[in-house]
Amino acid sequence: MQKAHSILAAKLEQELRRGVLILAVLSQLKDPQYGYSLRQLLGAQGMPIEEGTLYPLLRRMEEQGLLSSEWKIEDGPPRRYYVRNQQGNDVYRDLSAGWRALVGTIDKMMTEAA
Amino acid sequence: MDANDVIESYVRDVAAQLPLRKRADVAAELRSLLAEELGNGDQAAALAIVRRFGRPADVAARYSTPTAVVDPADTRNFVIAAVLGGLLIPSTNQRLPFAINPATAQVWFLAWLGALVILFAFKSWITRRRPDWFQWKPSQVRDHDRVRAVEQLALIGILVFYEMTYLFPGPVIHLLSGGRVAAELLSYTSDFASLQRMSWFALFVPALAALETMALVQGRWTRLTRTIEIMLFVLAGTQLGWHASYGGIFANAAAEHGARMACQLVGAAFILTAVYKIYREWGRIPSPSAGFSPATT
Repeated sequence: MQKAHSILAAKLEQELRRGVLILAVLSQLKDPQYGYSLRQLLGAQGMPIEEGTLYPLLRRMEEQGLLSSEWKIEDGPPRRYYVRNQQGNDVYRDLSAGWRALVGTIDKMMTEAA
Repeated sequence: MDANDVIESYVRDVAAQLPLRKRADVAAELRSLLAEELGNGDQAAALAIVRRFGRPADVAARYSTPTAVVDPADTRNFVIAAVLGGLLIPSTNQRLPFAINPATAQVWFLAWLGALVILFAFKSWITRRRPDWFQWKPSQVRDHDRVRAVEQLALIGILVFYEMTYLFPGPVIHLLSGGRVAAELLSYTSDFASLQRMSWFALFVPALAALETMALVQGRWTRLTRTIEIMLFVLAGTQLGWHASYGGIFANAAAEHGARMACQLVGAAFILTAVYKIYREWGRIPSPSAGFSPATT
């Protein structure tokens, strides 16, 4: 029973994380990053994301007009670097404000319910 | 096959399922990222990485959201329409009273499925382009337990007609045909007129008519009357099905053929009505005043 509860909790936490992926990615793309380096960066900050999820997400965010990208050759093979563009900055600002308000609301609800 | 071959094969399988304009670019990026993930890993490590990444079709879908031919929200309606088509097209359902060439029936069934795919795909396309056309609109809430006098009287009339035709086929058909069918042609065989064969349907139909009349007087259906109604529909339909199967209703061959076909059609109507009512009962949504417990309805 305990195991079923843990599995369900892990699944729900995964869904919760999936909901904030875009915000997490936007937060880290003030400076250009390529997929692998961004994954390492997010992982190091406690937000591990599967590669199969992150790499296509970067593409979709670019198609949505949140990111700009370009191929660069620096110290290694050619890599595609992503960075927030102007629209991405605006959206990030709004999303951040929304997120903080949401965290405050949920926190208050949880405190009152405890 | 070394690690690079594994990655290359994977990248190509993913890219092959992407729109043409995206293929080269996504393939180059995916190749570079997977190589980065692999580092100096061997073939087994490469295999582990790409399997963790996901099936090529799934990954391609993440890169470029595929358009569903049938909108997932419409899947249930699509399946119901497909199954109904399969049941109603003659010869795909051997129990229907009329049949067409089985080969033609199969073509009709395939054509029906094809038409459904086109219809639903068109609806999905329109929904994507013009979502406002499919905005939800409130409809009149129908109280299914309230008896509607006109419908109820019509049903009672039909049941009385069935009973009269069943009990006195000769005079009734003679009258309906304007005298073209002689009443003598429609006399039951002694076997059919026996108590074991003929009496059951003759009892079920008046019972059903009495129940419908009671509901009309009371103005509402209850759980009990709904259940009895379904049972009577099933019993009456089954009786007619048996008559159609065993035959020996009329001595006259033409009358016998017509009677068996009529028994099949009317019996099927009874059974389909019962199935529909059972379906409705199964997925019944109690009215707000009735509360949640089905026992209160």
